[in-house]
Amino acid sequence: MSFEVVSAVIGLLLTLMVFSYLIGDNPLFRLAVYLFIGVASGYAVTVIWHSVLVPRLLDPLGNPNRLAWTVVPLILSISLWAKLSPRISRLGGFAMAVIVGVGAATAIGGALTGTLIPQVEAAMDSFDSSEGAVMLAGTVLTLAYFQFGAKRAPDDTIKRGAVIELLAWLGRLFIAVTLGVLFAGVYLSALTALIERLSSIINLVKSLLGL
Amino acid sequence: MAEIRCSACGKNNPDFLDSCQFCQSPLIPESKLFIGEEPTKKDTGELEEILPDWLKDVRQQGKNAEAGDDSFRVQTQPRVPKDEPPDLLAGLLSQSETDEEEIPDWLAGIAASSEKPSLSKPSSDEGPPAFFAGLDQPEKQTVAPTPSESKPDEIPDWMRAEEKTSKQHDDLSARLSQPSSAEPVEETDWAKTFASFDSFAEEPAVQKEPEDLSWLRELEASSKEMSETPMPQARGSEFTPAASNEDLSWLNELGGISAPAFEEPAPPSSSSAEEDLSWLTNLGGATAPASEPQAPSQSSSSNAELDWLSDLQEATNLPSAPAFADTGELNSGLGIPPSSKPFQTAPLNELLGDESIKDVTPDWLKNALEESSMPAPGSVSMDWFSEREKPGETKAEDLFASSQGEAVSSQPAFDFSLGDSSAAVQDLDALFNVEMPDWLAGGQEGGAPPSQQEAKDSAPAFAENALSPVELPSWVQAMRPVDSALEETAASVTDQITETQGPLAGFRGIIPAFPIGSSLRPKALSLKLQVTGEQQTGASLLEQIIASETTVQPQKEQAAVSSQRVLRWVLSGLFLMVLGAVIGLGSKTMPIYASATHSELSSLIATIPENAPVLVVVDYEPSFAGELEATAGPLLDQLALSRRAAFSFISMSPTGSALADRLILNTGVGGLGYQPNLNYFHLGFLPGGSSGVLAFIENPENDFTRFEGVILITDHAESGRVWVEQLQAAGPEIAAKPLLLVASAQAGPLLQPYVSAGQADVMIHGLYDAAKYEFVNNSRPGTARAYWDAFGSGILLAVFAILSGGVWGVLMRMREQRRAELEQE
Repeated sequence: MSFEVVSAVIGLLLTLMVFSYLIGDNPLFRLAVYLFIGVASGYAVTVIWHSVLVPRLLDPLGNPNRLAWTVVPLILSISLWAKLSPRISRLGGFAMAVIVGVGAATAIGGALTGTLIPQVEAAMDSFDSSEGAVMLAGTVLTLAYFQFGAKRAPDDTIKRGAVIELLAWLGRLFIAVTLGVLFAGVYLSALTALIERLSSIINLVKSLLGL
Repeated sequence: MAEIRCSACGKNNPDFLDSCQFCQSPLIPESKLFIGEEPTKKDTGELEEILPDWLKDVRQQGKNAEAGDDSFRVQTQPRVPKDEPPDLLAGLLSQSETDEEEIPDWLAGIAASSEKPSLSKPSSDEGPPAFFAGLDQPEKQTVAPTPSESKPDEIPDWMRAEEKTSKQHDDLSARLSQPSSAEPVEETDWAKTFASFDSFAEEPAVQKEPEDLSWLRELEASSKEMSETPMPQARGSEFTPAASNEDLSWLNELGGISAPAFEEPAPPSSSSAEEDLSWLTNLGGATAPASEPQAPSQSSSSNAELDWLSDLQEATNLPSAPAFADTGELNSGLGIPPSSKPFQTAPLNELLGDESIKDVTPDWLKNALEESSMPAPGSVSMDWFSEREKPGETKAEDLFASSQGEAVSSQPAFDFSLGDSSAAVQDLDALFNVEMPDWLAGGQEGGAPPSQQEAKDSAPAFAENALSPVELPSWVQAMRPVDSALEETAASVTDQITETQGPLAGFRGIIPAFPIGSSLRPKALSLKLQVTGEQQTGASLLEQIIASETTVQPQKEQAAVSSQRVLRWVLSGLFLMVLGAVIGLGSKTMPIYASATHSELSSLIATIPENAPVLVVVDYEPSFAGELEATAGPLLDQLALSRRAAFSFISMSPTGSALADRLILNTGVGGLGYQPNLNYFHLGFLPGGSSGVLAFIENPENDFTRFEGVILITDHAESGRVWVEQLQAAGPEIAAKPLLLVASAQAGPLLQPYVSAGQADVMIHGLYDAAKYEFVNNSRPGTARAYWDAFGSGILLAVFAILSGGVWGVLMRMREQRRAELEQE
């Protein structure tokens, strides 16, 4: 039996174990989940060791020319281990601050130049067609839905204004359509994955049966 | 007769005398009586037998005379208690009732002078017996020597002058009494004492007898004898301290002539001085020291019996007489007899009447010019002045005369170091020496006549007692820093806060409780929450929300779990059977239609140079591998087939490398001869998120610009956004490179804005786009197409399930409504 058949059989079994969730939470499903998480984590650690630590940290330590550029990351990396102990967690504060600070600065810069400004310009350009009106209506009505300002009614109840209530109702439609689209995409993704799994199982069975 | 030798003068005296008849020194030390002492009563009846006959006769005659004079008793008895003599006369009064051994020294001197006639002229017909009879009668003892009442018709000129001056004094007293500010306290002991002397002197004025003039002859003789003795300065100290001998000047003026000196300017006082001195000279030794140049007034007396006074005047004009005579150059310059000037008994400016004097006077003396150091005239303390106007006051001068004659004794009659007498002397010192600085006092002492110096030397104790330490001159007091300090302190004290509450109420300068802190102590706040109505409404609303969250909601009745599980099983079985059947059958019945977008994508791929490196970002989870492999297969197949692009795989997920290998294997690229590290490369895991992406893009070693295109395969919109943003931020050159997005069906809608905005060139999301693009790509690799019927079936099943569920729901609602209607019916 070839490696591909064995891997296909294991894959088939694990797929069936996950499908067993249809009858409820069962050990086969849990076994399949735990196995998937363990394999994925082990694979990730191996990849990180071979792809990050060895080439970017350990190898430069042996190279005097790059030693100075490695000591600082090494110290910061080691200090992050201090986060495991509450007593010495402050030692990892600086490294964490560097990570969060640099990441935030990068994200903000990228968001400004890659998302906000281009998207604003694109939204303004889209008004050349009806698409822009729909986008504007959808944006305004959705924001109106999240307007929670209200006044006290004579019957001592608190209600939003009639106009805001109408806009909020229309905005709720836009939100429902958006969430429906997203759910449809998730369904399509899941359906595709299911089709792929069924196809692989059927193909394996066909190959096993020699059909 | 036995004789006693005087220890002072060495002369012999009869044994019945207590004091020497020559020097007035006490012959028996025990006979001294001090001021304030109560004379002890002694029974001298046993001595009656040893008295000489002539003395017994005299006493008998005195008793007869006493019995015949009832008016004498009537007038004398009430006077003694009325005047209320001070302690100074207590001894005299008591002595008057006892034996003459109890007589004090100074009074004994008077008695001695009175007895001298009896001694010198024991054979005198009537005078001496009457005199000694008076001695036997205490009430008559001091009355005997007053000649004024005994012979009113024979009042001498000097006595008339005295009455005249007394009237003037009365007027002056009346005028002085108006501005008087004297306090009753100023009626000091010395004034009382002197008043008592006045009253004491009045007594003999009533009991005058014609025979009393005989004693004057005897007194004349005794005065002649005493004229050779030194001036009795110590006797003057009975009323003033020895150091302030000047005090005797005002005493001299107490005789009635000093009144003009209080207010009258200098010329009138000088003119009246002659009149005043007339009585002073007649007064006998008491005031004679101040009447030295007034001898003519004495000569004006026409009474032959008063010739002795001239002798007495001569006797009292000894150099040591004027105790207060030296008042400085002021008096001498004005031509005023120094002795006629009282020493600070009135404001000196009024006394001197010359304002220019103030210019040459020191500051301390200016105060004296403005204020009188004497008790203010007209006050209660000056009542004795009015009494001086009585006719009998001449007896006081007799007393002074006697005291002057007694002054021959070197011993003081009063011991001021004992009892209240010392206090009286202190008062006198403070009164007369308050404004006298030491240096000036020294100058006066230095310039004093030899008589004064001798008198001072004779009574050094008085000089010491005369200094009053508490009475400092004004200029010395002004130099005292204590005053200013006290003023400042007093001012500060007034600024202090007075406590009004608590146990310290009434105290000044209390540290306030509140600023220490106090002011800093936080004010007590009420624990009751102060909220407005709006806040209260918001709080109630929040409370309702929280309560609704915690309130157990009644669950709606649902169908049995079996039915749902069955439904789930039914649906699952349906999907598995339908999809499995479609996949197992390999059906490709569902049509696929190409779109313009996918044609544009093929055109874009065609622009990529051959064998050009293309960066493929594998950023998705293994669960989405089936979808994304089917979605990215047509694109990678076209690039590998048509462009022979060199793929460089990089992943932001640790499993990316494995997924990349699976992607090459399952997309059919591997079938095109692509070999690892030859036709495709694994760049490995890219940690760091957006930072790692930016670092990878900007790292010169990676040479990102060498990539002709970037294919981003992702299953979540976040990863696609990071890559789009960082490529956009890397620069226009990198941003201009073709960016192809391959996304799952769930991430496609979220990445569509970047494609619509032109930030990404093309996006293929889901199996729907992949099947269409595969159709354009000549149905290569065929994976999408193989899934397409099943995918369509699954969508139809989903639609069916949704519709079935909807219909089921509607049916269930209709069923419930029908049941409800049936129940209502």
